[in-house]
Amino acid sequence: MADKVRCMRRARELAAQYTTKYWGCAQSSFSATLDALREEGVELVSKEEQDEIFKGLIGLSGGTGNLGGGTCGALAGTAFAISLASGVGRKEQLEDKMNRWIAFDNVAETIGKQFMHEYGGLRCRDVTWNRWGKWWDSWNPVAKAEFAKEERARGCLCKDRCTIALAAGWAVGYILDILDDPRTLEQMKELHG
Amino acid sequence: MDSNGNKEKCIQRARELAVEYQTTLVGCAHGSFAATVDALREFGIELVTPEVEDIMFKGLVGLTGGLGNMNTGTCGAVTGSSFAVSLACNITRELTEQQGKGMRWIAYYNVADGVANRFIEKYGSIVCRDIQLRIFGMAFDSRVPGRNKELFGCASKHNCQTPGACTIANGAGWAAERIWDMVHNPKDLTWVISEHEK
Repeated sequence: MADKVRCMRRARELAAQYTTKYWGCAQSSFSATLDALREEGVELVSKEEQDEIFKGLIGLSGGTGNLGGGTCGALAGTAFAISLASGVGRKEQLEDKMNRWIAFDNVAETIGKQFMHEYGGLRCRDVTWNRWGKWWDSWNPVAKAEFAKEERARGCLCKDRCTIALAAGWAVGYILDILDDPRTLEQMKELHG
Repeated sequence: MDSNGNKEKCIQRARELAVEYQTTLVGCAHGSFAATVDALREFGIELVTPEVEDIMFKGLVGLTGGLGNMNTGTCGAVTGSSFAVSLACNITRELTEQQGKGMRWIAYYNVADGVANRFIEKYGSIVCRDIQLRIFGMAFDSRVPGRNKELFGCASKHNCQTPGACTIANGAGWAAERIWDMVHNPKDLTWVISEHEK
């Protein structure tokens, strides 16, 4: 059985490593989440399938296409992992459209609410505004360099402060909870039907 | 191999499938992604196998409706179609390790230029709630009981569920267009950097 506390700590460590290796919040948070779970014997997808997903998530980094205005990439990557663990595929949706609410609630009631609580919003700019009181346009080379400089100066690229690491840690905890006590279609029909 | 006729047909097919999927699969992120990938497959471009596509579908369901149907994150149609574009850029974990962090900008560029900026141009934003406000003059919190049905009713009244008007169809169409161009005329990082510097 997976050790939840150990797994959360490991996810944060991996995320901090991946942040400076892959340089992208969505793909790094997702990879750290899945790799930490795998070390505990929880394999959501094969390594090959994970690498395919990695390719798709790059473009969701930095508030989508590094534009800042959309969902924080650390949130997108971890929400993707949580949704994946929810197991609602095409077949399930065709059987009953309400199945989608299992994934919606698994994401919204966990990492979604956590981001709202911690940062006051879901968007990349909500996070940077909340944490640093500043917005940077990552497509502007001067602003981008300034962001990187401030990030390092504040010691953000470490497992206990980095948004990517924190998100990966929260996500593995939520995924283990979801796998242990899954939401059901009947519950969703009662709540959202 | 390429012809503009086929490209236009593929874009149109992605738009049609997106509308169809909004009825059968219900949800902007997985719907726009599936429509993009399925349309391209019909025209001989297989980004992933149907089995891997379904795994990705599972991950994208929860990103629908501005994430978890919370409406305040990226519009699911932007997310699903951006995911497809990024996937087509084929920047693997291994490639990133071998060729460095700069490679990710190929995906950023194609997502921003091919999908996200087109949403901003048309709707003023890539955020779910902002797009609803632009189209309907009102926006809904789908997690408040009754508001999700109200949103669907509003979309129906505005005749949104057509290949030319549906936001999800726009996302799928723009993604199919960008991926078609990338496959038939690939651009490397040097080109992306020079394009950005213009």
